[in-house]
Parts: sequence; structure tokens; C-alpha cells
Amino acid sequence: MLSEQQIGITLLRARERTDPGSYPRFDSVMYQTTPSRKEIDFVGGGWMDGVPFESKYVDGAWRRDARTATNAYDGVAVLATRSVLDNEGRARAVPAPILALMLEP
Amino acid sequence: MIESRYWFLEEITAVKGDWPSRIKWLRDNDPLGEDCVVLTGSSMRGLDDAIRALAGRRGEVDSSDRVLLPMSFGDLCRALGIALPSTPRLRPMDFQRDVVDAVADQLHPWCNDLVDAWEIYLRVGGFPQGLLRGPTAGANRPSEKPRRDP
Repeated sequence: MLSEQQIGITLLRARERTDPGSYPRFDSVMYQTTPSRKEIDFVGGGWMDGVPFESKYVDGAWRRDARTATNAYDGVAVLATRSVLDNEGRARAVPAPILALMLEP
Repeated sequence: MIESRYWFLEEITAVKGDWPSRIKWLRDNDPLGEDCVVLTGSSMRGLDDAIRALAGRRGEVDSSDRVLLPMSFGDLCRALGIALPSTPRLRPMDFQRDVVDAVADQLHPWCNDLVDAWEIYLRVGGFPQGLLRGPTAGANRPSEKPRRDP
């Protein structure tokens, strides 16, 4: 849960950097509930360009946790893991610390 | 003629009462309306009220709202002395492109240290004082010790 929170803050901070003043509006990074009542952790408008982000702080199996996002979106979905790096298919697993550094070096 | 002045009102969101209306009144009826007024606070709700109350009274400054957030994870890595390769800043839309793989390959050799540092980050929340107080007791941590910025 803490890792998910920090990924969310990292996305907000990255947005604030590209659009100063966007942070207080709280409309650039949101969660989404799908029609089947499942939740996607972070989605956004034009800025996120239809790339959903999920957080699952695991060292092992992760693809099942990305399924909600890949079912709801056509393109790539990103899942922040603890240490798994995997770029096969539409779902990408990226270790949370590496993901944070990608968005904010 | 009075020279323009600068007013810095720190932690104004801690003030009880309808301070946004008072600031609004001063902007409309007092020479303070010609000054530069900087309001800082920790309550997003209070600042949001002020943004609404002061609509049209915020001068010609572009993007007059500023947010001071805790340290980024990159800042924390630098504070811990973890030397990382220089990588580009990616946007969410970049995750549709192959550039992500190249950046991931650059950073992956540091993955073990970065996971340790990330878990420190989860403990201190990006607050420098938390890092300097050594909140990492009992946790795995990189071999580098925290250092103060010069």
C-alpha cells in the first residue's frame, strides 16, 4: 500500500513539473473502477495518454494483477512490482524504484 | 507614490476564520492590492478556498500556484550517495515506446540497492529530517550512509 501511495505521488509530482499548479486540482491522476467493480490504481486524462498504472509490491507472479488494466485499455499497462522487470506483452512489470526514477530521475 | 511591497504570510491555512475573504477585501480596498502577496499553507482545502476567493485578483503571474512536495525518490538516492547513470525523464505516454526498455536496462544493474533505498523511502516518506534521523534501523539499507547536502 505504501509503495502504491508513493507511485501515485510520483505521478502527481511528474505532472506538476510539466504543468505547474496542476497538483491542487487533483484531476490529473485518479483511480478507476471498471464495470466489473475492479479497480485500476492510477489513470489520467490526456497527460497519461491512456496508460494505466497498477501497483503490486511482489517479487513473483504479477500478470494476473495487470489483467484488469489490460482488459480496460488497448495499449500498454504498467505494473509497479518490488523487483520484477518484464516487458513481454502489453503489460510491463517494472520495479517500483526504477519506475519512480524513470518518471523523476 | 508607495513602492510595491512583498508580503509573505506563512502557514496561513492555520489561521482560524475566513481569511480568504479578508485577503480578498485587502486586495480590493487597500494598497496591498498593488503588492506581491505570497500565501503558504499545509492544508490543500484551505488553499483551494483561497484560489476560489481570489479569482481575478492574482495579478499577471503565470501559474501562480506552487506546490512544495517531499523529496523525490531520485533526491533520496542522491542523499544516500547511490551513483546512478543519467537517464531521461519519461512521461507516462513513453511507456508505449521502446525507450522504456533502454532506460530499464540502464537502471536494472542497481536494482537490489534501489529496492533497499525504496524501502527506506517508504519509511521516511521523502522528508529530509526523517532521513537524517536514521529511520532505517532494523531495515536493509545500502552500504552508503546518508550525507548532508553541501
